[in-house]
Amino acid sequence: MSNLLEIKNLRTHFVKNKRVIRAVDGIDFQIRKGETIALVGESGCGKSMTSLSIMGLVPSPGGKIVDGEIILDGVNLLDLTEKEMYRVRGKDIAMIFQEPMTSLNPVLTIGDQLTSVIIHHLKLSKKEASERAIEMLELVGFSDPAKVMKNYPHRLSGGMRQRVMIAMAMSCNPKLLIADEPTTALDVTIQAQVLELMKELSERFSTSILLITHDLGVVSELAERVVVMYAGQIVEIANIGDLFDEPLHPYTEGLINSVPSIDGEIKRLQSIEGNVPAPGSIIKGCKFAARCSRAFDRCTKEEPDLWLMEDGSRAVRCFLYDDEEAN
Amino acid sequence: MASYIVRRILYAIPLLFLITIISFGMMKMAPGDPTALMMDPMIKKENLEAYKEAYGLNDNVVVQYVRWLGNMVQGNFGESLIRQGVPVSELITARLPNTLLLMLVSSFIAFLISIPLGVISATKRNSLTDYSITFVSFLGIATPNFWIGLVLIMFFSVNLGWFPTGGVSTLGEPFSILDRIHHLFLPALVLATADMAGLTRYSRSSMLDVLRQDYIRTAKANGFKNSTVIFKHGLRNGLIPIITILGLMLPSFIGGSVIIESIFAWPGIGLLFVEAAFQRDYPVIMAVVVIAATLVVVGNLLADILYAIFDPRIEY
Repeated sequence: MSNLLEIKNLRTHFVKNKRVIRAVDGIDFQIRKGETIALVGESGCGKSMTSLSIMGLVPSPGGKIVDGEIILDGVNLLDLTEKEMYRVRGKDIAMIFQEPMTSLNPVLTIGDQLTSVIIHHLKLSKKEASERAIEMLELVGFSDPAKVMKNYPHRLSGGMRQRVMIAMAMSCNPKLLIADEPTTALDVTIQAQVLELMKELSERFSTSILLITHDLGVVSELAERVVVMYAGQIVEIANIGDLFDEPLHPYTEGLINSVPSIDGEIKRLQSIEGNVPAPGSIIKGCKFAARCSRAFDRCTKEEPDLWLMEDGSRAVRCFLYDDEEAN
Repeated sequence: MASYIVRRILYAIPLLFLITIISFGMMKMAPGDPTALMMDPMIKKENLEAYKEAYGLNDNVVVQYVRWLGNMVQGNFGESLIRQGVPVSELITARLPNTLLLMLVSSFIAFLISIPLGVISATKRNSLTDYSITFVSFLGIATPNFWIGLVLIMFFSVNLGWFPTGGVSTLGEPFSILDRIHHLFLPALVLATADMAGLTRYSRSSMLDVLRQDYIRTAKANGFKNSTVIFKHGLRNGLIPIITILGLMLPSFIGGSVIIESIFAWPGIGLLFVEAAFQRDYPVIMAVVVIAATLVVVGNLLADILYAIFDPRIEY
């Protein structure tokens, strides 16, 4: 499979009170065509900022992409002008957000919001756009789409609004769908429906998904590959099965152990000791060392690289897997 | 929607009723009465009593109030004590259109200038443009508008001779729209400045608040260009709180028109009120107070209705 999106050495920094915060600190990963990839990590690890960097929506002033490339289908998005990005956002890359309750405009009808996106990107007539919108609403499971079109968002529940968001995101056949915590604000039964819907639609339209979440349950449901981020860096990349069977990085292991399991024996839930390093703090050596139970001398002195493992399907940033150490 | 409007109008009735009681009571409590003004100071006591009896001033206060109210709801505000024989309603109908014109045009000016400035200020937050607009706004808030009026008259009317110093039209010339606009320009502008500064600040903070919302991010993520995001997705939401301000602005417009009409000799009800107050023309004062209060109530009613039109979340 060829790569749809390649992120190379992406660095997105923030300047706050004259201090530089490295929200995204040199990350590399690829998304293949039709693949679902999950970006996992605690709050503040830079995963949302990665997605906003891809969209070219890094909050400004303050935030800035300082280095790297974001290559979509051979085009470096960072070279495009703002005007050219208007054609990419919502068309090539669509995004759905964590807060379905507030992500739709309260003073415009669902129909208005859907059709305006379709008209903007697909250059259809008003009537065709409206037909397309109804079709999309049907696809995301509304039984009476014509009626939903006339409704204002406050008439819909959170789950319904997230479906509308999905319909809106998928309406122009995007190549990549970025889903930033799409189910976090929904209750559990609705979560499953929404995930199922995303899976179905991405297969149908062969859309790649970049799923951003801290919920490993959601990851196992949807993703094929997982990128684990910590403090602005990638610490591990693995296929979904490998990650759960044999997490390599102590941080990944910690994340997995902190999820309650339904079939395992009843034991105390483990949490990862300590806190995420304060944004903007400068840490010598491995950024996770202070919280790592397996840290040794070298971890606080040098910074580990992201080592490619095995056939290249796996990567980890930890001295435990450095060949030199093994020797 | 219709039932909502009817309900709002019904709510306004007891309020207006209360206003008439208060304005009547205040006039009654004020020292002196109309006879003191009308009579020869050398009048004999029994003649004065006869006058008071004839005008009904010796009756019970409640009886007097009911009589006044009863006449008023029929459109009879009594006769002016100063311009004897002229019905107050005639004075009002002659003056009210001038005031309404002034208020309408100046609120239009205020909105037309303030809202775009507020939007620019919000979108270019913390820039030189924003700071300049903020600076001028605070200057505007801090400057009394009668002073601005006097300075503008000095500069544009007296020194440059561009505009007339006052009045609604050039004496002895037939009515023309251009002549009216020529006379209207300065007073309307000055009256507008009273609220422009505040309105700019309100629009700025309202837009800042809106631009932080998630649906703005959604609109950007859908690839809409900046101006579409700001004006189509942002402004409609940002205007909702401004409508409330519109309702609140009306009283200050009426208060302001009293001052501005005096400065520009604009024959509206504000000027009528000032003249009547100096001359203790009781029927005129009371009529103007009631009409001004009614305008405020109607303004708030309009704001409520606009609110319901602009914000679909409002349940009627």
